[in-house]
Formats: sequence, structure tokens, C-alpha cells
Amino acid sequence: MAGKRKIQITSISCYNTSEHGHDELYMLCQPDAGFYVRYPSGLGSKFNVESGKGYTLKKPLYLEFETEVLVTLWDQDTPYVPSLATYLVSYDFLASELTVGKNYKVGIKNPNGAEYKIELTVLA
Amino acid sequence: MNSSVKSAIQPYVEYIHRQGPKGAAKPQPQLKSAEQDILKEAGKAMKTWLTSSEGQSKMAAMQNMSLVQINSELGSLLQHPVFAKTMQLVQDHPKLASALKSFPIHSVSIGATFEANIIFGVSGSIGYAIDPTDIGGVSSSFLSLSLKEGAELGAFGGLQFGIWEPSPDNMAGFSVGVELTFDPEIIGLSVGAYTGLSRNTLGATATAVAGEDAGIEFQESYTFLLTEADLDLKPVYQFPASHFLILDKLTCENTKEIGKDEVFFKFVIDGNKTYTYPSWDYRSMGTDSDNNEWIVGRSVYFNSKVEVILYDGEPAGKNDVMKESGKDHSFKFDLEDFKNDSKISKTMDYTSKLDQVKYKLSARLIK
Repeated sequence: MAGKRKIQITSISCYNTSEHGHDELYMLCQPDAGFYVRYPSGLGSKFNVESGKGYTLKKPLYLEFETEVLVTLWDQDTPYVPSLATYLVSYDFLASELTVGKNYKVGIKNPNGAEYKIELTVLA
Repeated sequence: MNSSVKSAIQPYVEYIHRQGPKGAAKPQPQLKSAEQDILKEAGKAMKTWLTSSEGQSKMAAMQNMSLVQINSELGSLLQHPVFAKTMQLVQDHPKLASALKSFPIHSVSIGATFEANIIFGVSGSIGYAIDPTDIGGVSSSFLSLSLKEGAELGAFGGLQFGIWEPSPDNMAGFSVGVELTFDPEIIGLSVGAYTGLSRNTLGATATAVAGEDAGIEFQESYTFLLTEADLDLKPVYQFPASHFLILDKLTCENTKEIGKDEVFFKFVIDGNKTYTYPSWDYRSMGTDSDNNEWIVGRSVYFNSKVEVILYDGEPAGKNDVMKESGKDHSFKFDLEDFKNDSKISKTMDYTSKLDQVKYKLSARLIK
């Protein structure tokens, strides 16, 4: 079996929020259809993002996977009540499509208005 | 222990049971005086709290609490005055000479210990961890779990205080523990040291009960960081299977409703377990160029078949399955379908009363 791919999500840029004001962002990342990895890690935590701003992740987010990792951005309107969260955007990063040492930028839109860019570096 | 908490723990129990014992060698970490002092003080604090009327009523209430309530209780407990001296020792730890220390403390945790029979006998703790240099900053909620034959109590029994080398967001993984003995022994306190095998990090815990015997067995354990899926009991984890596909793209050619559909789907793996995507909420889809395609990227482990059932999620909560009565309009992907091409698509096209529905779903077999 080939070694695991390791990426670091370095920044999230918001071109448009899903609602007026700001999105209360958190990410659920799912490597190889396994358990979620949450960012920020604290249950119920989030960071506020505004349209037209980029956010470097202060605490590094590393993800390891063999085949793919599905990254989903959520707007948390009510902490601890995930059924009230808004699905923003998602992207599935495939190990076979990533080259070690390269940086990638992926722009994603949702008809609900959300428009985001995810930037990452492939570490291994 | 609340039944919803048991349900939240169940996927993790299944996971560690499938992993089986690793047979990892017991570590022989020596805890130096700095960490020993912290654990002794934490042990005293926990015993004080557990035997107080406040502690007794909260531990009794915890048996019926939800995960969110347990998380909230534990989150505030490290700020309780009874832990003030312990936390001061943790704060002072970086200033001590390195000869007195075993490892840098990047996380402090407090957990409620339990034993339960959840398909299999397990013991463990549900805990809350913080970065002692950034209280209010990075935190995590975790579940530590070991298989324990014969465990069936289904109740929280005590408290476990931990100091760890990994940061709160990096505590997940496999570890193996060994019991340590304080001299003189502290009644009702079990102390142990752990090595995280995947990252070779260290940690140590003190476990206290109100009575005389904390009764902790130090063994192989897994730590998982809890997420929203555990609060809402959404199945998320898929067990590896023989094949793996990705549901790539959903294209709308005719909506079910006038205007936009509010689309989410359920997928059934090998006629067995059902998952929802997105886990919550929906994606608006129409026939305009800016809303007719959804790059889904949903990965699925399967052995022989995957069925995908589309829903139109009404805001009021009424979810209409896009399935005509008596006729099955779901997308069905069988392994055989990929015989000649790793990329295929299926179309759902039907008319029901005034509804004319047409969606196309493409999938890619990865292995």
C-alpha cells in the first residue's frame, strides 16, 4: 500500500457569505470516508468570516488520507445544533490528483450565495 | 448513561472492536516529580469535588445528560476553584528545570469515566481538553475507549484528569498505558502514563472515584475527537470494503418543483447501512447554468452496490423523496456497471402528477 498523502489546508478565502453579515464557519473533513476531523477542533467552535477576506489558518490543519479527503464548510448558526447549520461548499481532494510539494487553490460556489476558496499545500 | 450517549459511542466501539488488540508493548515511561506533583494535586481536587454535595449531585445528573450537557459540565469544571492549585502547577510547569519534567504539557483534560456494554463491553472516558497556555482558545471534546470484557454497568463512575504532550486538536489516536504507583498510595486514585504510538507522544492521568477503588485497568485505548455528527447521531464512518467509488456530479435537467429543488440524498451501501449527504441542510438545484450542477465528491466504500435516493428538502421539514409511488426512481450503481468504464452516469427521469423530474448522477470507481 502506498504511503498516506498528507496535506495542510493553509487558508480559506471568502468571496461571498451565504447570508448577510458573516458566516460562522467550521469545517468537517472526512479522510477516506472515515471519522470527521473538525476545524476548529472544539465542539461548537467556529470562526467568523466576511465577504472579500482571506483567512490564514492560525492553527495548522493537517489531513492524512490514502485515497481522498472530503472537505465541507459549514455555517454554524446555532452551536451544538448541527441540523440548523447551513451547508456552504465542499470539495473532494483525491490523492492521485495531488503532487507532493505543490500548492493548490480551489474555488467553490453554492447557489445559496456562498463562494469560497480553499488553499492547501501537499506535504507528503 | 443516557441512551443517546450510548448511541453516539457505538460507532467507535464497532471501530475499535474491528481493529482488534494491537498487542503493543507496554511503555515504561517514568513520570518525574513535576508531573507527579500535578497528578497528586489533581487527585486531591477530584476527590474533594466528588465527595462534595455539588460533585455528588452533578455526577448523579450526568447519568442522564446528553453529550452536549456533559461537554458543558466538563468544560467548566477545570475553571472550578477546586482545581485552582492544580492549574497553577500546570501553569508553572514550563518554568521548571527540564531535569524535573518528563514532557511538555500542551493539553490538560478532564473526563468522566464509564463502563458500559455497547454491543461489546467497554471502559473509557468522555472528556474535554484545553491548551493550558490558551484557555478559551483551542479545545477539543474527546472519547477515550478500551474494550473491556464483562463491562456492563452503563454508568459514569468517576473523574479522570490528564496532562498530555499533544495539543487538544491532536489528541486522537491509539495509545497504550501502564499503571504507576505513588508512594504513599493515595486511596481511590489510579495513576497511569501513556505513550501515543502513532506519534510517540506522552501523557499521564489520575483517575478518582468517590469510594476506595478507582479500579482502572491500563491497556490499549483509542482516543477520538467528537464532532457534530456525534451530537446528531449521524452515521458518518464507513468501514473499508472491497471497492470504493466517488459520486462525482449531480446534474439537474428538470426540477421536481417550480423553481429550485432543495436537494440532499441518502445512499445505501450494499443494501445495508444508510448515510445522508450533506449530513444536514441541502443544496439548491435548478436548471440555470449557475445552479444545475453540483460537484458532489461523496466517497463510498462498498462491496457490490450503492443505491442513491434523492430528496427534495422542504424548509418546513417535509422531505419529499423523489420517488414515484410504486415505482423506484433511485440511482443504482452495481459493481458490474463499471465493467467497461470506471466513469459512468445514471439518469432519473419520471413524471408523477404535475412533477417532471430529471436528474443525472455520475460516479467514478476508484478501486
